[in-house]
Amino acid sequence: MLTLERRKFLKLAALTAASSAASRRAGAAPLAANNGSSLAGLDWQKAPCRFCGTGCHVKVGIRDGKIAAIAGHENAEVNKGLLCVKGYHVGGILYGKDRLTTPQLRDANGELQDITWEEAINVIADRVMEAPEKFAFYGSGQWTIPEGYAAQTLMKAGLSNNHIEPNARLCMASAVTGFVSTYGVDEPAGCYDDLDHCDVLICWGNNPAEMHPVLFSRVMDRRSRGEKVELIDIGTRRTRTTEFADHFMNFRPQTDLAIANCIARHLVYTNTYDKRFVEKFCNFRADIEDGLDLMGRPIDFAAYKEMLDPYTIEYTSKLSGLPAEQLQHLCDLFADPKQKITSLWCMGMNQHTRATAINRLVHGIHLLSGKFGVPGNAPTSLTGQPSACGTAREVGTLCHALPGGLLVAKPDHREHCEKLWNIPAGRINPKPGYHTVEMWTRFCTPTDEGGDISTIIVQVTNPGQTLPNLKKTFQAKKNLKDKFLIVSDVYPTATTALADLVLPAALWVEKNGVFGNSERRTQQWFKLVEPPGQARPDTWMTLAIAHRLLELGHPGMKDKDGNFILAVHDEAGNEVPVWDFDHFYDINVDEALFEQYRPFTHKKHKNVAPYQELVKHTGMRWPVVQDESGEWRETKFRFSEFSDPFVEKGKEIQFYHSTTDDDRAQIWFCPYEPHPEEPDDDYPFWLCTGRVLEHWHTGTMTMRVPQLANAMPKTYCELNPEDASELGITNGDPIVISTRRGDITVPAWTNGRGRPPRGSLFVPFFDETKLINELTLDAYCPISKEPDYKKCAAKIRRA
Amino acid sequence: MPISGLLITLEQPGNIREISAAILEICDAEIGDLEERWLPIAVDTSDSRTARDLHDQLLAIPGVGYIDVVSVAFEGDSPAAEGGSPLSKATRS
Repeated sequence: MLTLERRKFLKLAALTAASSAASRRAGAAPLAANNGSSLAGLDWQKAPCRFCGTGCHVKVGIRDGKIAAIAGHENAEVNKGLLCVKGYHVGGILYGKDRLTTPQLRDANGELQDITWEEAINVIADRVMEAPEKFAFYGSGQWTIPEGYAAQTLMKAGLSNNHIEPNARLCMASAVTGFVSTYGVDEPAGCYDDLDHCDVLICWGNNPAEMHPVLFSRVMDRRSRGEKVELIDIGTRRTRTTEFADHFMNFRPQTDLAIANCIARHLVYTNTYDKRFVEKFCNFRADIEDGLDLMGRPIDFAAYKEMLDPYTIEYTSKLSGLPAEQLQHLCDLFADPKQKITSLWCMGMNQHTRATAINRLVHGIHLLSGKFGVPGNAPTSLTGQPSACGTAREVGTLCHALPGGLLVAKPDHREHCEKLWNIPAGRINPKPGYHTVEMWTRFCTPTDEGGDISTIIVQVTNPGQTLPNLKKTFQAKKNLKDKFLIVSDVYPTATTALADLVLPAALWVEKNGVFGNSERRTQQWFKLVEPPGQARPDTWMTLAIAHRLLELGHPGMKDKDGNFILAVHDEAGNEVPVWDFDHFYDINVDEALFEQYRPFTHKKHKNVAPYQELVKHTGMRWPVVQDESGEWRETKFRFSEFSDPFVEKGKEIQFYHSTTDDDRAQIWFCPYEPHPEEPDDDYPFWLCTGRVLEHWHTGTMTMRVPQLANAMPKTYCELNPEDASELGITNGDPIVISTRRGDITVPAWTNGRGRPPRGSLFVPFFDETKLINELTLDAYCPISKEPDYKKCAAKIRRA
Repeated sequence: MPISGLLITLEQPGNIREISAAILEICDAEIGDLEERWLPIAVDTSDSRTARDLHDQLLAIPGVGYIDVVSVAFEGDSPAAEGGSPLSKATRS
């Protein structure tokens, strides 16, 4: 225990840090050269936060080889020295007593038995060698960039196998298809600075007050200074964000498409769209006649106008349930050239059976109104994981992608990557692999019935809890003896419960890492503490597997010159045997892999900064290019001449990866369509799933913090008190929720935080003992292949 | 037993006396000097659950607009779990 004096000392240090933050907020010089945290006598090092995609930078205080304190990094532009409530817990996630510490192989009796790392790597390599084409790699938006790059190289450059996916398919794939089909290239043009300049902030089905609190705090800070920032919450249930909103627009699920079309119609039919912007920088596009695809077909303005015609305020009001006055207000805001509008969205728009469409439509109303390319005017998607952008999207660990925003289907992209990887021409498989739902469905299908994925390795994610329709996409594996599941994780999970081989992984600052956040910012950190037991970094695991495959004679593990495809060299050019864990830290493997990856980012102008530049900073937003003085400069606003070095002089705005090769973005028309599983007489409720404040995603880390586990130990079902009353349900009653895929029993919560409207249910997905994803729908957006976790039909009754 | 540095954003800068009194009614906080609308405080709580509860109580004080966490020290205490979740059993069974 600490002495009283030490506690007083720490309290003083905490007050000094907070006072310094107050001074900074007030625009005065901080009280000290640092935020006071060094007073506590700890060794402080930088790292991005391990939780969400905001990308806050923290200072980690180390004492006696353990994390003793966390502070917001005062030089971090993202969070400016501040943290959200997750700061109370980020240090604790490493120290759960049930950390996995030894590789374990399931024996014939179904028991996991300790084995050595050498045995584990041999088991994996033998499985791959047996049927390389039936092997799949399932990773994460929590993979570091070097981890993702190593896995990507093993699969696509080594095994000629595109069956690699990140869990980001379940959360961000629709944002990708929205950006690509609109601008020709993925990821937001704007950045968090837009929040400092907008007059209106529209949250489209997302809840930044709880899920991205530091960003929300920036807006609240402006309000506290007396600035007017109008906050509009367009959602299907009330959240904490609603409490701060000037307008809560409670719409019927799925009708967000109609709302966006209604705004576009108003702009066009009242001639209040930004003609100059549209004529200079935009084309129009619609879905192909007989289906849906990524690029659609060109249309002209007259056709666009005609397609929008049905979406009058009256029609949209009836469809969406929004009062006409609220719709009119939205229309008027976009029609007003003086209003700077930033739109934010996350899972509410992305987990949607018409997710690509709604992403396109929100981009479209920004383009149509000219609310683009100026600080404060931006359509910006947020990510839920710390490196969904960095590792899933930029490294391209999706089954159709190559590093740097390139595609396996494009011959010139394959040729470009084959040169960079120095592998023989034709090595990269041109056919996209299986997307997430397809990959897991095939893994869970008997081999003789077409289940042609036989082995999956999972790193840094928990599909046994997060896949939709779990009985079909995950739990069916249990009865398939010839299927083999390998899981690397830090704690036991619903996924390790079915694993044949469990690998103990190092977590966060127990290893080196690089993340990429929601605003194109790449952030680096160094290993600060030792992992427990035999836990090791995922990068090492992948290198060891690849090298064992090389030893077993897999030809793909050699490049054109006969060298190991994942070789790492020291400054003298000598290969370092980093696949042997005794030598893994002889060199900074992260730096070596990141520098191998970096040239891939140039073709699509996503130039990430050199690793050593990242070491000096709390993150840099790409594209990062050297100026005439040799200094590396980041880019805040893409495609805008005043900020983006790749925009030609005099162009003002240039979409230099335009899908129509004319430097223009695409304004899409996509119609409203009913959801494939609307409530009906048998299943009269909408069921929505999501997160809660206490737990991050599946609770793998936060359930190990006892205070959080105690605060929110079990899931529940929020429902409207009037619905509850009609069904004779009172607060706390056990109720059975049923969908066409199954049922679970959970307590009812009638006065909960979200206060769903009548006819709606909300159930969090963090509870591994009550898997709500056994009930969710595995229907997905046909373009992004991202499932809809926010909507399916359900019924309830008292248990 | 985390010791947290917090930054409280006040809705109005004028009512510091009432707000300070309300804070001290809830907890034994060290309160720093107000900088315009921003009030720094340091609090010592028994565990991170209490810290979170306190966070919500402070946020509910009339006139408090928002609270950011600046630092959290866990020193001398385990910042983490005493045990695992039900998943521990799931994997080992």
